[in-house]
Amino acid sequence: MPAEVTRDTVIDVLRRHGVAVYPCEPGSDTLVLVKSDAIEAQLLPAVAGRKLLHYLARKFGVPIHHFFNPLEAPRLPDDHVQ
Amino acid sequence: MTETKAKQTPESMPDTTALHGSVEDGSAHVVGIGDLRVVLIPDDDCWFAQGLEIDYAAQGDTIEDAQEKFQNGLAATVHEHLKIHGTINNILRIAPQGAWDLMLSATAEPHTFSQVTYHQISEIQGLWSLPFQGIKYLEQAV
Repeated sequence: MPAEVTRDTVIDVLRRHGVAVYPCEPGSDTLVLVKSDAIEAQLLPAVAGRKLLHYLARKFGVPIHHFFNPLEAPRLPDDHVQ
Repeated sequence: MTETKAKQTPESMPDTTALHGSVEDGSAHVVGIGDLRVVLIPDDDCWFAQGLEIDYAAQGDTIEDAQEKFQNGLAATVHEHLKIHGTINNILRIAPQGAWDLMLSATAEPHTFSQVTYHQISEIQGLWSLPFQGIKYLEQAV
């Protein structure tokens, strides 16, 4: 497993699991994460630590290994098949 | 060898309180959270802050940064709940047992942090301030 999971990867994997991710306010670095009843604001770090990943995985129903291997995460509707 | 610190039992700590008031038309809200306990845990090169009575968490580069990210993130989370639901009911969920086990373990070091701020949302658009009184940060010994 790669040692580092970047903010972009976290956002991508969350979106692939149906989490809506958008800025708290226009131009804000704080993101709102929404999936069903789970709603929260996060200023995601450049590199997410293991405990944060486990927390996000639990909160939004994401298999933890998908953060480390995003290709295993479900495809988004607009993903292009290579 | 890990140094053993005195545990702070739930009985010895004040109860967490949360209040929410709003004007009749729902255009303005006041939310207060008091004596919330947060466990601070080292995680490789960063710090992880996990709320106990409220299941919210944040990561920071330092203890102080984790505290700041936790407070700002929770305030923004309250704001989003008010925007979407008009209430904070869905925020008031305790953390899972694993987070509580950290606090009750001998390695959890109570770290007290208190902040008094005032937070008001007007017309559900602007985040002005939020009150978080008496947040208790519990720092896990390294």
